Amino acid sequence: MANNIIKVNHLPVLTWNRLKINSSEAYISKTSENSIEYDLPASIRTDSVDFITALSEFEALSGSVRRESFVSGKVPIYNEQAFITGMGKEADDYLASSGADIVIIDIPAEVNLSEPLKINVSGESSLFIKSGAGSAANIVIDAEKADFLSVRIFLNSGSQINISVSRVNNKAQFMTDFGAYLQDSASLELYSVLLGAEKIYCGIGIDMTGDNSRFKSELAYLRGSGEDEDINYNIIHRGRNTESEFNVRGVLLDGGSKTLRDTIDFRRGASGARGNEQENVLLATEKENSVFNKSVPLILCEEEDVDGRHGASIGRIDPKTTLYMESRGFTPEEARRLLIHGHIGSVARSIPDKDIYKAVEKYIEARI
Amino acid sequence: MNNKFNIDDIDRSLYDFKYDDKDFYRSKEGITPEIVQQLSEDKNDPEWMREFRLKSLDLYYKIPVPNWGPSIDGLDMNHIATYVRPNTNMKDDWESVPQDIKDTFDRLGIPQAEREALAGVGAQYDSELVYHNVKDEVLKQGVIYTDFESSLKGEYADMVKEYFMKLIPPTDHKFAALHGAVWSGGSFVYVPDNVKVSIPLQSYFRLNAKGAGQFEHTLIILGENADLHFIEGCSAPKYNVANLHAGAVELYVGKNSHLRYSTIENWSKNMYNLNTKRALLEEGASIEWVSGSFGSHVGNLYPTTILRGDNSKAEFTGITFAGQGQNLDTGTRMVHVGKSTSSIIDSKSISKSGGISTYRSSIEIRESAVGSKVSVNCASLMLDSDSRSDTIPAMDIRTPYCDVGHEATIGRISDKTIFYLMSRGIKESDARAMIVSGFASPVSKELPLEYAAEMNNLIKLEMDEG
Repeated sequence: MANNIIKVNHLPVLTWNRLKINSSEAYISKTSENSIEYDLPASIRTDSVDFITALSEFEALSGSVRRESFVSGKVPIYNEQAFITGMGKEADDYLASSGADIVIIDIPAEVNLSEPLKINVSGESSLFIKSGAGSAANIVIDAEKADFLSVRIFLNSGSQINISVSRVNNKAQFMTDFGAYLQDSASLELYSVLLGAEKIYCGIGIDMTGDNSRFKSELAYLRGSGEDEDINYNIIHRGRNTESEFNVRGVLLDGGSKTLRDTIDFRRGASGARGNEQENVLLATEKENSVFNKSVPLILCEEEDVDGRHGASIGRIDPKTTLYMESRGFTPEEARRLLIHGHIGSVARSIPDKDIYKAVEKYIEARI
Repeated sequence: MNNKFNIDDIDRSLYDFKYDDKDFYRSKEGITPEIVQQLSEDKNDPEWMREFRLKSLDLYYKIPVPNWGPSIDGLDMNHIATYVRPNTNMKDDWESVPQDIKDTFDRLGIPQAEREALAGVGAQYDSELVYHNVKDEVLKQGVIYTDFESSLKGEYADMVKEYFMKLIPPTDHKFAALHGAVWSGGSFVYVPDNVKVSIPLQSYFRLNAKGAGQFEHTLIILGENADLHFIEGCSAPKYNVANLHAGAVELYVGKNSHLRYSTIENWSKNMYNLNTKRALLEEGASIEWVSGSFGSHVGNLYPTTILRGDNSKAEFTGITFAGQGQNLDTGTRMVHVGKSTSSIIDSKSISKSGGISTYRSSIEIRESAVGSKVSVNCASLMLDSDSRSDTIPAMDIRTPYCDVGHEATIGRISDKTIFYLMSRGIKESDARAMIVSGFASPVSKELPLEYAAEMNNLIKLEMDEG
């Protein structure tokens, strides 16, 4: 029997308990039947097995990666999984016992797919994706009917995966958990537009084991009354000249709530690595006492030759900007709408599916 | 450019000398109700303080060791003497201070600093103040600067009782509770309304005894429209057993007053520095924290400011240098409560030779803090790959009427910058020294000249071609 209350989105290192940000507690609710629908080219192999079997296979793939319970010999670090994800081990334990739908997607070496692979998931679903050396694919996941989406990706040398996930109108709770290992020169881009659900948990754990591997991510959210989003990025640089860049752009309307944990973790040996995390929160409400924003941007470092940066900007729409727009003929309300669209719409434009982009634009318009 | 240059650890020889303490009174090791009772009797505490100590001790037993931050497994409280009293009473002229203690402070430059740059000095040796003096002109302004034990019994006893451990209650954390139980020494400062003290006061804390703890309490109260610069220095010789420092600093800054609180911390590398500092700002008040953390084996230090009054302002400028065998966890906490409050944080850290430096902070903007502004900038310099540097900031924002900007960077000395300086005729070793000095300058430029010079000596960054 699966435990419905689990701890997720752990900070890799702990800080003051009174801040209540070391992890979050999630109550899992299920509203839809499990299913994974896809129509893949013949060159792509798929396999359906149980969660534990699939996880074991992927843990074996990542098995050569050095793992530590302590870094620098004495600093304890969250390390409960053999294959990293953003949410952590209790999410794995839940899926192992919940009967989630599972599929292993195997993209052979040197296969370059020009058309996006579209996958619709519903209920509790878990995707295990292997990209062969030198392969390339663009994967679009529609998570409109999903309660819990788990995605693990193992990128072999030189492979490139662009993956996008959208969730727009469904009001039920949504959990999404990513984990990836990147071998030499592999590249992963992840675009997430998570707008609909009342409560969203999003975990992203990336282990850049290979030299010259690259990770890029854009994530957009919009939270209003009674809505909460809980996000955890944990990006580990192990390989030399690895590069990560992730941007989180959000809008908090009246009563909106959000927690973001974002970590760049430079391990010894990652010489030449660069990591850059940026957060931009627009507080688009006129009511006092009406937002709840927590941000915890970590940089952990035990390598001299790195360049790590993070920046956070949290505030209202700049009056100078609205004044400029009004001087160009926009009403104050038009200016506000345009700025909110621009703030999070740029992430939606990165998803290679026009229908999703239109749905996002329509949703934003309705909310503001 | 291929040659590896080394930056040496801080030269500690200035601080690493010790004297025999065989004639001193020393409490039994450990922390028990009997030891606390005895301490209270020795100090002739008022009854409320005796009860306060015992309640704090109960809390100490109940509160767990924090599950975050550097490990303090090496600190065995059963082997710490919480009270060591030198064989002298407090004096108000250096000539009356026992020779070995006087020599200690002479070597640290305290009497000279007093003559040249200070309005008053308190010098604590182990658990008690051995010297305290204030210039007449400051006394004539109505400023009270005295040792803490005297303040409990003098004219301001009621005020001290009202404010003591209200900002840092013993419930706050385990070592605040320990402090409440065994505090000894420290200073009380009161600056009346409309009084501006033009030259700084300084307290210097020296822990000479082996295997001992120092638990001084500093309480500073500024009335309205007052101004003060208070400097705190500390050092100890190195032993092969753990020493503990768990002091407490409580600062009350009245309406439209200004306080600058500067600290140069240079405890020895066997020290666990688990200190707590907190300030409360009233309307229009401001505080500047200037903090240099260079010593200690383990350090946990996060000066906290509660910006309760509207339009109050806080600045934190800090540098931490973690060398071999050091794990220094430092930063700050800003709690915005009043309207239109603002805080600025500028933090630097340097890690080398296996040292671990962590910047940890918390910015909390409460619902009432409408119109607040925060700017955070933290930069970390890694001088080798044996070391570690972490940045763990947190922001908790509850009002939409605020602006918060946060930037952090981590990296090594830029080759491009060195190349540029070398292209202007500067040797590589000098270029590296310039860059590190420049990195530390936000703190040194905030200190009075003589203390900036001391800090620069402290960071004696000798460059040699390896």
